[in-house]
Amino acid sequence: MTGEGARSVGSKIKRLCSVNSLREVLLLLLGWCATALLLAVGFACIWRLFGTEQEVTGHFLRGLLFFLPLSLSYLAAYGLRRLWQYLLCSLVLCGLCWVLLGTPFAMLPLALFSFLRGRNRLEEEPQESVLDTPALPLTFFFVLPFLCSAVMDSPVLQKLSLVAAALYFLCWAAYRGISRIHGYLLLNRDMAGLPAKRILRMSGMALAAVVLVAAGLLLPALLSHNGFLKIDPQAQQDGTAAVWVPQRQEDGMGNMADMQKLLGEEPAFQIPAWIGYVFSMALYLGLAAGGLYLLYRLILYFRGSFRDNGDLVQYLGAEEQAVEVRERQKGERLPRLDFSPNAVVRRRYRRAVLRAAKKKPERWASPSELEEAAGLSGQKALHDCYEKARYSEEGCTQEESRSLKRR
Amino acid sequence: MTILLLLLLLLALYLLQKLLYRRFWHHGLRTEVRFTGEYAQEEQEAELTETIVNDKLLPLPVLEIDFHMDKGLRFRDEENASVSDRSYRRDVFALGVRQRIVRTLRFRCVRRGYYRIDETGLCARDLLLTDKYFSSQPQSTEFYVLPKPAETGRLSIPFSHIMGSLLSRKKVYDDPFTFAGLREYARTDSMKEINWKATARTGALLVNMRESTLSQKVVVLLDMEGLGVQSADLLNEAVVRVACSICERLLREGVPVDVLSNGTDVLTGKPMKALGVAGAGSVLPLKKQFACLQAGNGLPAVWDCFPEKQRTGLPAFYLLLSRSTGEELVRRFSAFVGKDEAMHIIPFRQEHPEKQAGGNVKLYWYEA
Repeated sequence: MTGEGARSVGSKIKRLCSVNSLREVLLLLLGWCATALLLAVGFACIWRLFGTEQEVTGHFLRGLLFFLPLSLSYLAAYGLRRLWQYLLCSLVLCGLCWVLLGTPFAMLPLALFSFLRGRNRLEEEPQESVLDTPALPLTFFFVLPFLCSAVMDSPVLQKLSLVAAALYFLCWAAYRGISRIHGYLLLNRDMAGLPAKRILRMSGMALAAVVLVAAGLLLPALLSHNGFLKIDPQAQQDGTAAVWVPQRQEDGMGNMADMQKLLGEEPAFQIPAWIGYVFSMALYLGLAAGGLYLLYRLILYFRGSFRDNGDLVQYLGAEEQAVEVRERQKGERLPRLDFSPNAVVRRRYRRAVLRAAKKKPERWASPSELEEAAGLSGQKALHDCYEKARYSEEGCTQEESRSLKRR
Repeated sequence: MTILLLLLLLLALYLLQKLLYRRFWHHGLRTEVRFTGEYAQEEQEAELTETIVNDKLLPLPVLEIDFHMDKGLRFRDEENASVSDRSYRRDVFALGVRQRIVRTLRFRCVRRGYYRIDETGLCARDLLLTDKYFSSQPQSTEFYVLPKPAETGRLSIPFSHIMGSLLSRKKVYDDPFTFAGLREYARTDSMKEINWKATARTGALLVNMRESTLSQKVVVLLDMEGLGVQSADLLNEAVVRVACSICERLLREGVPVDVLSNGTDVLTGKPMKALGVAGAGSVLPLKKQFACLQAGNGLPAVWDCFPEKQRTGLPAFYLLLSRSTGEELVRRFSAFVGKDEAMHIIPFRQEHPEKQAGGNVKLYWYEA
């Protein structure tokens, strides 16, 4: 990493407070979210070794609280001037981890991270920490709790590890996209007239669409999936099938009411189905309205003409487009399927000139010159019709086209 | 399995986006770089317009336009330009669906010259800024930076001398076919000059006055030898400025000029030669020719471009502008001028040697 990079890492904390560094804040938040997901799944997996299936979700959610000490540790590493202050703060954060996660073992990962951060801070050229940056290879870390869940017969942990992997992947995609846009804008920040806002809007919207589509495809599929992969080591020793995928209709997180019935307890109050339906309908309608409004704003944004940073931005309306098309079509041949009176007249004129001319007419010749060369100088009607079809605003009528045919 | 298929679908969407951009990014994309005016004077400001049209349904979040030209034009925002042997300019645009963007850049004309932009380079990126696509489009725009006028006060002496010489010669070479008025007879007048009808009417001897229609031509000779050394460049520029200012004043006074130089015209690649330039309407074309005049090393000697006396026919006033004070140049110019009148203007920076011109040549030192 270059000195420039080191300075940028060192000055991140200062820029956190400035309005212009929202993208950097977002990047840091995504990085910490991704790391918290990793730790939460690991935490839930370890707890499953000693606990029950019902506790897995709770421990996973509790594991997400790693986000807080992680972010505070970053702020301490780059915000506190003296090393002893940082060490003291790290101890406090380890204590906070214990309190938040309810076990002294939760202090271990944070102690390790604090040590790594402190060492990085002491380096002459600090590196971008992997704790603050999602990396695609780390998605494979989720394979470990997934396999553990298959061995331990824990469908909840399996589903959580898959969902967490998908969320980690989305964080990574968003991080990569934002950092690419941010990097480009940072690289060209001194450039005069750089349309940073418009670049940000266009690429940002595209990125948001990509992440939303990916989330919309992956997360519902993962949440609604009932399959469960189970590995039975005993079956492998017996020489029978070691891996199979049983289809379970319910999982550990699911039908608590049925379980309570089985245990002979009175089921607790449940929200009636029609209320859920109304709420979901309202949610869908709200999302649809929001989407339509965004689309409307988008269309307005692209169709308007405005001044941006000295640039005059114009939408190519019908008039401008007609001019552009005319410019483009200048010198192009008439479309074969154009049977408008103008096209018919032009075709007849061309045919007449080519038939009468002894040699190939020049491209630059005017109609009068063409007719003179072809010996058609006397045919005033043909000349007038052609000029009207070629150059006039209104063009030829059907009658004029037919009259030319009769001649 | 479903998850794998979804991941494949996402990958396919991403690749489709890339494919669309690779295939269609340059469709309906037109760029035009054009100087707003045709010319400007040294140290004045002018404008360059960049017009970018994206006539398709794919937005281009980043489109970089770059072009290069001679470094005599300096853009206001130097951060977008890098100057080495030439001036390279890069601008970034963000084009939405079917949009046109017009950007106007102001620049200062630092050096006299002829400037041309022949091509623009394009570099676009896709929606997520992952891939780059390159292309170029031809351009055709040109701009003249005319020489800055020399200070009129400092040119009044040589100009008065030239005009005085021309006027005095008028007396010598009267045109018998023109009539300028009547005056009283003097003893030195010829008898054939007496206007007998007017004499009979007034009762006093009156003679015709004649206009002079002789081509009171001024031949301006410029020596443009020397390039790359600071003082040589400065003095050569002074030579062009002085020549241009004097020519402009002469043309406005109705005096035709011939301009010859050993410096090359950038448009033709040959030594500059403008013969028979007359009238105030010719000032601008002549200034443009001065803008195209280029100094250089190893040019032919300035006396090689002296015109033939037979061709010019009638007497003319010769004006040589050269930073050189070489003996050979002085001797050759003096010999070339012969009985005609001439002036040698020598620009200098700090001090100049005491030197005498030969023959009818008048020497004038001009502090650049």
